[in-house]
Amino acid sequence: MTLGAMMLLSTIMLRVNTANLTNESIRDDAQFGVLATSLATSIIEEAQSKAFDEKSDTMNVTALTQLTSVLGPETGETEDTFDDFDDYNGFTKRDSTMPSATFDISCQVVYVEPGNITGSTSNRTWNKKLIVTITRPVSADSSVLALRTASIFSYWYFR
Amino acid sequence: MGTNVILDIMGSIFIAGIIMISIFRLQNSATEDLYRGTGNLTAQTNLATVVQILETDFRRIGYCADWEEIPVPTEAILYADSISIKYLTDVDQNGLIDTMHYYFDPITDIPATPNPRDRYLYRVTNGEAPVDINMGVTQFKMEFYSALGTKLNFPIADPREIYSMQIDITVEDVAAYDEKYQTIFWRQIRMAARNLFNR
Repeated sequence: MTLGAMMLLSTIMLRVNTANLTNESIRDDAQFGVLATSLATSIIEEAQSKAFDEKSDTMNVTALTQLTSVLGPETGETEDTFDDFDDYNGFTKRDSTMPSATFDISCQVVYVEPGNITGSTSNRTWNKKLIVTITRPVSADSSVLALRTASIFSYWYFR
Repeated sequence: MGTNVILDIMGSIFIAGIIMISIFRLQNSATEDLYRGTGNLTAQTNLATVVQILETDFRRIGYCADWEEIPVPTEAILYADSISIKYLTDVDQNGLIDTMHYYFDPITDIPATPNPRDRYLYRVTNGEAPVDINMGVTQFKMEFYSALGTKLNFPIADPREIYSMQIDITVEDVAAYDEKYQTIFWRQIRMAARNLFNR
């Protein structure tokens, strides 16, 4: 009977410890989520400080046909020399400066129609969407998604 | 009473002791876990609040409802170092210039909280009495960058050079179980304000 009681107690203890570890894991994920949010916000802030398009960087654009059709950095451009919003298309970076975790950042920029901001379009529009994906490598060849967020940047001109 | 009975009683007491200790440890562990979870949530909520306040205020650096009051927005930042910033803004959007001063006191502990590391983050508008933000902030650090992305060294002789900033904030829960404080970190590289682009 005593042995039975001890086995029961051991089982309960194992279950409680499992629950504690699960809670710990969820808390860690939440903290990584906060860090990932700060990284994504930083990328979006940086991107939105640039010109809407390569063509609008130095001149006024009044027609959609004037906008860049191929999104991405121009030849020779690096993160330090990005000058427009869509330069972040295909941008990837590993951030090891955060405490407790390393994050991989990858970005995608697409044109979006005002009536369908969740999707994308191959047509040129006055709205571009930056999708930032933050993942956290957990081993040499696998990673887990920490955050995916998006922000839309639009071009305005006076007529 | 035979030897076997005495051995049985001693064995039972021993086993009961082990079980009691195990139960106490289990209860302790469950309580700690509960406190850590709550503390973590509190710290995250506090961090979100602090960041939201800073976001709202810093985005308005150099802003005034009457734009003629701050015709040169790059001159809006009056002073900046790693733990404080003073700038011109329009807090209540009434077209009158306000002076906003944020500073962090890295020395003085908040006596009302058990956490020995949390400090006040102060927000001062127009030289009025400082409003202390007690959200468990244990670290508040700013770095400033020029339009070319060069980090500006302190002391910053000419605040007009500031184009963007990096804010590092660490928040801990103000009270914790067994002094095991939950730590949440935030690092944001952000544009100080749209108005600083006007140069």
